[in-house]
Amino acid sequence: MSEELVTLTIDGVTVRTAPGTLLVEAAAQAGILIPVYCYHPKLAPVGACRMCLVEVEGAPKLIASCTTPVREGMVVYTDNQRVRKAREGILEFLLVHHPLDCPVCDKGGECPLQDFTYQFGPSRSRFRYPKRHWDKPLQIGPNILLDRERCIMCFRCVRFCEEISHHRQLGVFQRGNNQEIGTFPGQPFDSRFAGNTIELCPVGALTGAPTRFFGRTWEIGHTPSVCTGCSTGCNIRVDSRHGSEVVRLWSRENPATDDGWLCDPGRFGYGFVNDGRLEEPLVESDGQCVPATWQQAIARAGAVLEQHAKAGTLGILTSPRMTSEELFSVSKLARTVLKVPHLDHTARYVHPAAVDLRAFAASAGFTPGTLRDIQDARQIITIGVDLSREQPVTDLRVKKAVTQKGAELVVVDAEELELSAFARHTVLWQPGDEAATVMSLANAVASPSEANGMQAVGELLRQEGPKVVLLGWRVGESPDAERIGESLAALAQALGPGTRCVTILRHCNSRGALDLGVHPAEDPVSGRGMSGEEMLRAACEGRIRALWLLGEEPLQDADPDLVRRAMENLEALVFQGWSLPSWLERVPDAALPSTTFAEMDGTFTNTHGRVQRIFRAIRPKGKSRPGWEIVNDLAQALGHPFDSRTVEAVFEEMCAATPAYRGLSWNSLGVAGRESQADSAAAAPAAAQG
Amino acid sequence: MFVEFVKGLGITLRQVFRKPTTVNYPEEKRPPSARARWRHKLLRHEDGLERCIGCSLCAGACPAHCINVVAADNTDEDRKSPGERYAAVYEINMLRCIFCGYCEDACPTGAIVLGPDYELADFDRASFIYGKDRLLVPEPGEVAREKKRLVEREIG
Repeated sequence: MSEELVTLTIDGVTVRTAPGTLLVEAAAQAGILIPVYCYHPKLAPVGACRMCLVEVEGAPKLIASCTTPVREGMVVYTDNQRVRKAREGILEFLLVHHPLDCPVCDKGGECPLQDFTYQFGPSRSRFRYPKRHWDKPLQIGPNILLDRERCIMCFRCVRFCEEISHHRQLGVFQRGNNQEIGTFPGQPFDSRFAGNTIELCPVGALTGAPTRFFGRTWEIGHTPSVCTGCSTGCNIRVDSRHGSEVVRLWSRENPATDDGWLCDPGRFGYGFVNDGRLEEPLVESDGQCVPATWQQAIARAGAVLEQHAKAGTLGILTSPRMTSEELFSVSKLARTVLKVPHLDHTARYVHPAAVDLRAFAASAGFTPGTLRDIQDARQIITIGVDLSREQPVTDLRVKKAVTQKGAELVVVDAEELELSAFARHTVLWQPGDEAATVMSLANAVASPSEANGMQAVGELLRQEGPKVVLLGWRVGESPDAERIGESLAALAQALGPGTRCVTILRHCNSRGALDLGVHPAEDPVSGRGMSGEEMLRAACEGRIRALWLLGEEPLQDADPDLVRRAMENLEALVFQGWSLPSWLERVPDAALPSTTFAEMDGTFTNTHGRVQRIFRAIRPKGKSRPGWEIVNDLAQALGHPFDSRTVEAVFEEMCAATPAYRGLSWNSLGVAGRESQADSAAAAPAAAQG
Repeated sequence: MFVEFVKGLGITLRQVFRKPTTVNYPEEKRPPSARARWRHKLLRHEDGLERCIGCSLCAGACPAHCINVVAADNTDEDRKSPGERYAAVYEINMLRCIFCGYCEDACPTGAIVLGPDYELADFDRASFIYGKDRLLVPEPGEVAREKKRLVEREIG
């Protein structure tokens, strides 16, 4: 670093740190604890709680270390008589109205107010008057409960809403003794980032409604994992009770994916792990589903798969929410044992050219980027993706780049999006007109004379600086995708070399499914198979007569009418997943219960290609088993046993067989994951050619 | 020599005529000590509400991990305990319990106390999981009796 470091002394320890560092951060670097409530590394300092008071030589009064930057030669005391007395006083004030209902509080056990009171606080209060009382708990939003008695007015939640989520739904009302946090009259706190305030709250004032009374914090097991809500790959901590139930999901900071935040759909979307599970294998008997042993179910499923694979009438639809190991096993069984080319991970229409969206973007001339690139970009362009809904945490990253780093945002979509409020320009396209719109944007960037009413956007995007294009999966659904590809190529050319493109996929392991070739575009042996959508059509016409359906996600975005007709026409159906879809009217010939992300080890690959591990947090429900184990059994039943008997072995085999994952090893993934090589190695030549 | 013989026999004879210390259990029972720590009870407040607030501190203090508490929300229509929270499930595995009384020490509301009932034998393991149906005392009057016993314990 070219900047001079500043030297100061904290409690006799000499600390050298960058100028502009706050005292509280410098102390943390030196391993000295200063208690804080309002200070948070991701929020701007306010100095509201006064907990971090320290003595600085030469200063007449104690000063708040969370708002004071370091100075050369500063001498700071964080633990002398005067500071200790001040802390005791502050804690006594903070506790004046605090109800001390720790035994019934969800925060009890992981509460900084509790911890610091034990560590630094007075043992008793001199406050002899009745405490202030409010109605509690107050439901201020679908997921959030507010207990104003416990609040210590650190404003972390309000600042989060103002600075990070930009959903200004919380405010501070009244003053002094009556000061309270609240929502605006009649307005709920229904931001999709509301759950983060539960984590930020240093006391039990904001707690989660769905997770209310989840158990006590010391009874909870913590397991690192990855959110399965969307393709961002946010790192999470799965909190489980008694090893049998997931009770809460918590964020786990990973700068490469989530930047420390989690959205509510992800945070509270774990219900499918605990409820409505398919707990034992079922087989069809006289038109009814009856419980069976694993052996019976595997034999039945194996017979169906073998018969229809031989006849060429078998289609396989896997879920993009399965782990890469499961997808690899299914794909291996399909390609080497069953020799079925009809394998896909989605049944919505995808244009053949844009099946692998990243390859599609790379062939247009973009350099594949990562989510982290967003924070260093000067210009960000989103094309056909509503980040706020599809990847909420990436939406926060874009907002941060725009509001804190001064990046410029251009939104290209069919309608004004939530992010349009942060965009310098929103370019609207008419349905069916996408390619032409992108082309005229490219022209506007390339030459001012051809701008056609887009002069301002063109000029903005001609400016120097790293550029990032975020390309949504809906682009691949356009029948016009080939022409959009041409327009994107023109745009890539106009934006200049090195423009990075992050493709925003649908599900948590869509990228993995593509990397592993779980789509019809590539099959060296039997040529191109049918895509999921084609399989459904073929089922209606009788050319596909049996379907091995793994999870319901592949059918989620398909035409419901088509799905219904296909299901009616099928001769046989083998279902594998964690719950039988409620819409499924026909009885499957065999239903094989598989585990969810919380009950097994494995890996997911996020939208930009980061391979991240999930760890087993709870015991498998009922008789459910990881999908790769089930596939191993099927392979055995079909007479071609697989060698890999552990998830680690499957992973190593998968890495050896998949170009994108070469060089990865199970142990090197750790809890933060590793980038796959698809970006750096495979993409560079493509970019050069484009 | 003869004197020693008679002396020795004398001791034996004395023991023969002493009142035996054993009792004909179970027909006859000894009163347990005032400090006896056996079968747990969950007490009620004077107004009949449960004292237990489902905080799990007893389970946290338990060295044998034999207590399982699942808390739930009180509603105004069906109020079980004062405040927000009550124990929807409260189970003690009596086979694991070592009757140390730490749960009683940990309890912030004085809800759980160990009482003098020591006859806990049963025929199958499942019946040793005591739920609220067996632990919760039926009516508030019990509090007075338990308090009296606790006071006696402190004195005696």
